[in-house]
Amino acid sequence: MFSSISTGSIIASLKSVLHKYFNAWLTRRIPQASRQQINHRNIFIMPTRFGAGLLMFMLLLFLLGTNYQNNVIILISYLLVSFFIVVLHHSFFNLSGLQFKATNSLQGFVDSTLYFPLVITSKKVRFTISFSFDQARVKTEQVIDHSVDENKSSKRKPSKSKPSNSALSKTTLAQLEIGENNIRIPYRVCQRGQYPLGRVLIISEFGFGLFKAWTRLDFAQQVTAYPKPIANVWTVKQQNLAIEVAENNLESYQDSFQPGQDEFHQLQHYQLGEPLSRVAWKHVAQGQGWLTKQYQQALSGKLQLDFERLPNGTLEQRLSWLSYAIKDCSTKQIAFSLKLPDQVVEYDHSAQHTLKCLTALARY
Amino acid sequence: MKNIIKPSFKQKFKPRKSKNPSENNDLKLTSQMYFCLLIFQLLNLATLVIQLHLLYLLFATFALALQFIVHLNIARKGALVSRLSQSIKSYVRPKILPPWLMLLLAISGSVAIAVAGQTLGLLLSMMHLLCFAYSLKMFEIPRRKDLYQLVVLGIFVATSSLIFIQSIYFSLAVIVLVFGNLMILLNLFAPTMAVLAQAKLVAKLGLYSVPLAVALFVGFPKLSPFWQVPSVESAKVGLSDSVKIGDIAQLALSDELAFRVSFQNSNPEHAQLYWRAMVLDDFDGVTWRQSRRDLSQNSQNSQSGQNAQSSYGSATFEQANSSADIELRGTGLSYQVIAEPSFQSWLFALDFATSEQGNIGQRDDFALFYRGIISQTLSYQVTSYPAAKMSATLPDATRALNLLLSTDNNPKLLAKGQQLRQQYPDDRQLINQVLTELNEENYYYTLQPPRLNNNSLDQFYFDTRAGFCEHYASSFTYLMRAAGIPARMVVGYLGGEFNLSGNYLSVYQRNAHAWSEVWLPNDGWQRIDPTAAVDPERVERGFSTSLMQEYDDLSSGLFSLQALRSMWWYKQVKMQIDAIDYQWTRWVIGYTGQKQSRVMAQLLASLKQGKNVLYFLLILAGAVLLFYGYKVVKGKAKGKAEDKIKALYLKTLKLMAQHQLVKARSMTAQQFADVIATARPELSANFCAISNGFAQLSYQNFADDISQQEHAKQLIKLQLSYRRLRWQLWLAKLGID
Repeated sequence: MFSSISTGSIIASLKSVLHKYFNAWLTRRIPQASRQQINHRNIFIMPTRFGAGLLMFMLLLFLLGTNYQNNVIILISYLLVSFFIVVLHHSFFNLSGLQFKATNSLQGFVDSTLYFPLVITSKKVRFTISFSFDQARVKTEQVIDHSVDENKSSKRKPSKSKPSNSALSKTTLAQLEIGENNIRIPYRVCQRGQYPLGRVLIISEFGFGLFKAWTRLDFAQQVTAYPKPIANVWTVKQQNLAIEVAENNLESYQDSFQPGQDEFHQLQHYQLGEPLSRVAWKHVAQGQGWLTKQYQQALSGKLQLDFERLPNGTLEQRLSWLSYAIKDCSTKQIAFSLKLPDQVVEYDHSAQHTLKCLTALARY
Repeated sequence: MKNIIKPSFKQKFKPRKSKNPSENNDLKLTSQMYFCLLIFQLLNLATLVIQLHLLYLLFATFALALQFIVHLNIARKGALVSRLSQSIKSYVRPKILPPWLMLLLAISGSVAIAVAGQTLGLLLSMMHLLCFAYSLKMFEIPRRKDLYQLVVLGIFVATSSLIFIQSIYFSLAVIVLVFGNLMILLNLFAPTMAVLAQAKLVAKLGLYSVPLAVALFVGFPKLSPFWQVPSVESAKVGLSDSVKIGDIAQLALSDELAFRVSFQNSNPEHAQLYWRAMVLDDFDGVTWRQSRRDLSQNSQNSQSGQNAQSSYGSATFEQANSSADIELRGTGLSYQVIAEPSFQSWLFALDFATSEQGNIGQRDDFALFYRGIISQTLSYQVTSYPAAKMSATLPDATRALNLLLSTDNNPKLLAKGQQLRQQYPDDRQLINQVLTELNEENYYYTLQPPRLNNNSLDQFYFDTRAGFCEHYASSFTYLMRAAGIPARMVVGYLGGEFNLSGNYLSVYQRNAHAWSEVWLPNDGWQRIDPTAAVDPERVERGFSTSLMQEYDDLSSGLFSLQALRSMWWYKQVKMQIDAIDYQWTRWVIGYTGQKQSRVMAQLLASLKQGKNVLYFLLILAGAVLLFYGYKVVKGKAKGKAEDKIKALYLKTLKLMAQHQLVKARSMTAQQFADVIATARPELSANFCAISNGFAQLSYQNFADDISQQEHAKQLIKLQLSYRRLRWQLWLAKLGID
C-alpha cells in the first residue's frame, strides 16, 4: 500500500518535472503574443487512434494481398498508405495559415465560466476546429481544497487529463468562413488570483479523423480571478454573529432602504425600478407627481468592508465573503470602502471602484 | 484459421452488448449520413454478390430495407420539424432491434455459417462471417469509434471481393468505392460541406495519392506469401482432364478468355499455334484420360494430381538440355502467357516449351503444369523450340501404353487399322493414306454432329462421318494404335485472335482443340492434326466461314448479337477495351516478383547510362513549370481582369503609334479618342470601345461594383475590338501602300 503510494508519487513528480520541461520548451517554441499566425513552426500533428488503426488495417490488406499474391489488393493497400500521407498534409493545411488576434483579458469569479473572445482570420474555408483551454493541471490542483461539484467531476473521470472531452469546456466551429470570425472560448476559473491565461488548445481532426493537428497558443493575456462570492456571513445561521460584527460598519448597508436612518437630502423624479419605500407618497397624494426621497447615507454610516472584522474563517472563506459583499453592493449601487490588511481602497461606488476592489481581493 | 477468426468476431459483438446505451456522448448523425452509410453498405456488399449465399443475401437485403424504412420515417418527421426550426437535424441512431434479438441473430447467424461452412469452403465461409458482422454492425453505431469500425469493415468487404475478380473495370470500381467509403468520414467532419464538394475533395486527395502508390507498387519488393491461405474454390473452367467425345463442343460456344500471349519478337503463323495443355494417352473405349501410371508409382494416398505432379522435374532450359528425351534444335521463341483462372493446373505452351520459373513443372509428356491451382490470373514466361525433337527413343513402358487398345469397343476401326498396316509397312505412308481418306471422302466438320451410340468411334468413322476435332483426333489415334503406331491424343487450344492495338494474342475457350501425336522412329513424337485434313480452314484461320455461320446460329438466342458482331466499330471498340484489360492484366495483375526485378534492373541500367536522368529531369522541370504556369494563369484569371484591360489599352496605343497616331502625354484618353474620331473616323468605333473601357476602369471607379465575370466578359469584348482595329489598320496600310 505504502509502496504503491510512493511509486505513484514518484510518477507524479516525474510527470510534473516532464511537464515543466515541456512547458519551458513550448514557451521557447511558441512564444506568447497577442497576434499569432500558425504554420509549420507551431502546429503539431499526430495520427489519432483511428489513424493508427487504419495503418494496421493497411498492413492487414497488404498481408491479404501478399498471401493471395493479389496485386490489386496490394495496390489498394499502397493507395491507402499514400492517401494516409496525403491526408496528413491535408489535415495540416486545415490549420496552417490561420491568424489569431486576442484583445481582451479576462475577469471573473472563481468557479464561473468566462468566455475568451478571439478573432480568427482565415483565407479559406476550414472545417471542424475546436478551441479550448489547456486547464488540466490547474483543475486537479484546485480540486483539493475547493468546491464540491468540482470534486465530483474529477471523480467521474479520474484518469482523464484532457478537459477537452467535456463538451462544456470547448467551442467547436463546424465551418470557418473566409475573413474574420469571432469566437468565444469558455474558460473555467478555478483559482483565485491574477495570472496568465494559459495556452489555448486548437485542435482539428478534420479530414478523415486520421490525424489530430493541434497547437497551443499563448495570447499573453491575464486572468483576474476574484474570490468566489459566498453569502455565508449573511445566512440565517450566522445572522447574529454578522450583525454583531457589522453593528458599526455594516448597519447602513443592512438597512439602507429604511427611511429615517439617514439624513433626508432631496426629492427627485421617480425612476422606474426604484424601491417603492422611498416614494414620497405625500407628494403623490397631493397630486404633485411621483417623487422619491433621496437620502444622504454617507456621513453617518460609511460602509467599510474590513477584512480584519470578518468572522473567523480561512483566508479564502473570508475573501469569498468580501467578494460577495462587494458584488452585492455593486448590484445595489451602494458605495463602500474596502480595507485589507495590506491596503485600503477608498470610499466610492463606481463600476471601476468595484473592479478595483475585486482585483485587490484577487491579488491578495 | 476459422477457429482463430471466429472468437475475434465474437469479441467484437460482445463488448457492444454490454455497453451502456444511455451514455450521454452518443453519436449523432444526420439522416443524410445514415442514408450514405446504407447506400455504401449496399454497394460494398454488391461487390461480393456472386460469391455470397442466397440466404445471406436475403438477410442483408432485409436488414438494409428495414433500416432504410426506419430512417426514412425519421427523416420525414424531421422534415416536418425542421420547417419550424431551420437547423441540420442530427439524431442518435434509433433502436431498431432489441439487444436480445441482436444477440440471438449474431449467435444463430454464426452457427448457420459454421454449419454451411462444410459446403461453402473455408474462404467463402469467412467471407460470409465478415459480411454478416458488417450487416449487424450497421444496427449499432452508438459512438464515433463504431462508425470508424463500420467504415473500415466496409472497405475490407469491398477489397476482399478482389480475391475473386480482378478485371480492370471491377478493380477500378472497387478503388472508387473504397474512396467513397472514406467520404463518409469526411461527411462526419464537415457536415456543412456540399456533397459534391466532398466528392471533389476526396477525388482530389485520391489523385494526389496515386503517384506514391504507383511508385510503391513498382518499387516495393513483391513478397512471397507468408502463410497458407484458404484458396478460392470454384468450378473448373475450360478443358477437363478426361475427354469424352462431344465435350469440346460445349467449349466451342464459350466466348470466355482462356489465356493471352504476347510474343517477344515476331508472331508465328496461325497454323503453328498448337497450344499444348495436356496429353491424354489412356483410352478405355469411351473416355480419354491421362495415364495413371505415375500415380501407381507413388504412395497410395496420392489421389490428387498435384502430389503426383510434384515428382516431375522443372521445366527449365537446363533440364531440357541435359535430358535424353529432348533434342533442342533451332532458335527459341520467347513469349509471355497470362492465363486466366481455370482452377486447374494445366498451363499452355507451344512445343517444345521451357520455362525458368520455379513454380512451373513439366510432365514427361512435355505438358507444362503449375504447382498449385490456378485460382487467379497467372503470368509466366516461356521459351519454345518448335524444331525440337521429342523422345527420339521411346521407353518400352511408354510404347506399350501408347499402343494399348480396348479391343472390344470398336472392332471395325481395329480391323481397318490392321488392314492398313498390311498395306503400308511404312508409318509415314500409312498416316498419309489415312489423312488423304479423311480429306477426300465426305467427312465434314461440324459442331453439331449426330449422336453416337455409346460413343462409338466405329459409328462415327464409318457411318455418320460428321464431327469436330475431338472425333477426328480420337478415331485417328485409335486407328494409329490399331496399326501399331504409338499414338496419343493431345488437348489444348489452336490459334487465337490477334489484337492489333495491343499486339497480343487472345485465346478463348472456343479455340479449344484436340489433335494427335504419333511416335515415329528417329523423329520422335510428331503432331498430326486430322482436323486439318478435313477442314483446313479451321486450322489456317481459326474458323471456316461455314463454321462461323453455324456458330452464330448456335449462339443466337432471343437476343442476337450477330448483327452487332459484324459491325466493324463494335469489333474495334471491343478490341480496344480488351487491349486495356490486357495491359492491366499484364502490368498490374501479372506484376510478379520476377517481373519487378526485371523492371528494376532495366531502370537501373538505363539510369547508369545516364540518358534517363536527363529525361527524368526534363520531365520534372516540365511538371514544375506546368504547375507554376497553371498557378500563374489561375491567379491572373482570378483578379487581374482590370490589369488586362489596362494592358490592352496600352497595347492599342502602341499599335496606333505604329500607324502614325501617337498620343501625346498631355492628352487624356477622351481627348485622344476625339482626335482619332476626327483623323480616322473609320477606326473610331473600335478605338472608342477600348478607350471607354479603359476610362471606365480608371476614372469612374466602376471596378468595385461589377463582378469578375462581367469584367471577363468586357475584356473579351475589348479584345475583339482590338483585333478588329488591328485588321482595319492593316487593311488601311495595304490600301495606302
